[in-house]
Amino acid sequence: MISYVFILLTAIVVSGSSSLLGSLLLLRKQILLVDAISHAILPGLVVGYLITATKSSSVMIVGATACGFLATLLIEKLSQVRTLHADAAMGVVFTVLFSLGVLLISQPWLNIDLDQDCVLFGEMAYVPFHHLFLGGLDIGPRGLWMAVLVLGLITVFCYRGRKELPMVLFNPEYARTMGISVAFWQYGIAFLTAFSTVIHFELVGSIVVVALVVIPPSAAFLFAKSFPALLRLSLCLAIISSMAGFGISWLVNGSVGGGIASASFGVFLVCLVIYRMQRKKRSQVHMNNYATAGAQINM
Amino acid sequence: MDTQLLLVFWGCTVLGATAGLMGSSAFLEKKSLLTDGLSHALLPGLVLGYWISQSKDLPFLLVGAALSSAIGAWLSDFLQKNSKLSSDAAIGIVLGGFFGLGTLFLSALQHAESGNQSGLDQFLFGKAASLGVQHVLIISVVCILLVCHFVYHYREVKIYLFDPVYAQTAGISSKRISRLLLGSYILTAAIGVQAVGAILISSMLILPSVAARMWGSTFKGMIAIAVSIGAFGALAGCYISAKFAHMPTGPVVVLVLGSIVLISLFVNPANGWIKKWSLKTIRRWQISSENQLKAAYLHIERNYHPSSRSEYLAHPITLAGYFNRYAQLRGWIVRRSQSWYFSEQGLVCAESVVRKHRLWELYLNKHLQLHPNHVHLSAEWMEHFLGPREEKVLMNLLDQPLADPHSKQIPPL
Repeated sequence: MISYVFILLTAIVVSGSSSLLGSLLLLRKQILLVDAISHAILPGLVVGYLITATKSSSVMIVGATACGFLATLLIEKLSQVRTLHADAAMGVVFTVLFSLGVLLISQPWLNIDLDQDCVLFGEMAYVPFHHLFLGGLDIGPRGLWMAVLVLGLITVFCYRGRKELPMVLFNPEYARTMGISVAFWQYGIAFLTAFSTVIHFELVGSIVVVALVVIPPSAAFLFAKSFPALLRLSLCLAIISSMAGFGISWLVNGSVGGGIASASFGVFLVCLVIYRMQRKKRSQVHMNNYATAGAQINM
Repeated sequence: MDTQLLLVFWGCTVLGATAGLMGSSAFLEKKSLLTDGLSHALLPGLVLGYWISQSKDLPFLLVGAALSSAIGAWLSDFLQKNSKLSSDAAIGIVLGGFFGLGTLFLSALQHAESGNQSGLDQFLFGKAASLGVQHVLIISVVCILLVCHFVYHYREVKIYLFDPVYAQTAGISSKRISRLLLGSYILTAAIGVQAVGAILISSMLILPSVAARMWGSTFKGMIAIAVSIGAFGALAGCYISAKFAHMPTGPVVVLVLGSIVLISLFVNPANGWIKKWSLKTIRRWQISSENQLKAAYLHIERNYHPSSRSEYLAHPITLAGYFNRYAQLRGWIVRRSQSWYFSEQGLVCAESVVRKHRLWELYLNKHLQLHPNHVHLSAEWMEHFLGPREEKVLMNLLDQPLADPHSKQIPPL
């Protein structure tokens, strides 16, 4: 029973930090960068694994984060080629790196204890099995602590930048004239994206990382009127969808990551319907106003 | 070669060629990443098709896959038009949401039937060797239909791709053409999903077109190159994956295509990195060696006060400084009895550089009324960029001048 609680807690923490990060990326119009990074870190993970020959080591995390950074640099470099646009450059870089990683994983003589399924789907259900010990004291599952670490970093980043971030995201030029180091905040976002993707990748797999980063912030973006509102709303939606997703996956006996991604997609669809109904109502009110105004003029 | 292998190779080649064709129009439409989203959206339909038909009957699976991908395409289009979300957010939602659904269905099915449906796994990363007669037949027929369709609409598609607004004014419905193209991408992805896998099928569309765009500069040329690269990459990938163990087809095909893109980046004739780099390097050598020749010329002028041109050839220039290999290779300087001297060509080159420098200074002084103290820096740059034609024009414009603003002699033309 306690293991279910751990899985649920991890799911909530992961989706919460993803949604905060996703809101930043959405406003920067770089949301698909997370798709690219989540695929591109695979060779870095494999190389890190080959160096230390143990899973879940810090070398693996460093290697994968470096690989993610490298991928963003490559995408930037390729977008400057005259015949390519950013879209295609992204498509080239991440598919090639991802294939390299998959090919490495499927070589039996390298003895890599990762399989293709775990890359795609993660292993949320195994979170309770790897515990972290502090001086011989069992302080809970390792995955949960890593997720909490990421959430803490992102929360501190957002809180520390509560004044600067909106300016940097909405109007970088203006931020520069106000003496804010735009590069610091932008590289901070890129670094957090790479780091959190690496940690979450281990827990939920590459595709669900994308779903968690993209979907709740997009749903919140439909309604939010300000930057803090966007963060708050997407956090709420992410927590709701992670709980619902956990329930769904428990009901159908499927993977937790897939359940959370599906639930967030469902939440998004509900939000979309509400958004459309609101708009329709508002436009009807407008039409009525116009109609009465027209009637008055005619009289 | 047994027939099964030949069949698989045929299927892959046809698939690669069609993907190259469709990919080039997706590339020119700037919808490369949309094809990635659409190919991920194949998964839930595939699993549902399997679940409904309770068999691995290919038509069911493919129809299910194409349907779910079409729903994904509609959703992303709807989101872009009817909400304030940007196009990449719409793609991300379709990609993540649909693939998440597919993952959920797949894992639920796996747990329910305990490994009975091992066949569905290969739809993630692909296994070309498992293509059957029926599947190759479907691939061939669909590909031929898609190509015929494309050729039939060729003119309209071409106009739409390059200028959708003009296409609209010319009476071509942009909406209809864009839907037709979208349908073609989906069908291509759906028939290729077993061979290459849902995750990497989009790169069969993206990569050949990216490489082809670097080689071909016309629409027709680009298509021809993309089709051949796609066919070659798919064939080579399938061959490697069938020949060696532990080589999943999808990643191998992508790596073959990726290396073609990498090679094209370096060697393509229009603006390959090797060509760019070598042109830049040669230009840099040329500029520095022109500077050295100029320094040597000024050295002689200042120290020996020569009265005729032949004196420049007679005095050594070793003391003027360092000379790089480029000047020697071009034969601009020669070595006689342990000293460097100007050769005839070298003197012509040095004179020309000095002449351009002083002409430009004079031009700035006379025509832009700049003070003589302020003209040197600009001339330092311009002396390398003015050609023989500009030299003559300046000469005539300034009435065959003899001296520059610092009253130094301008070498006669």
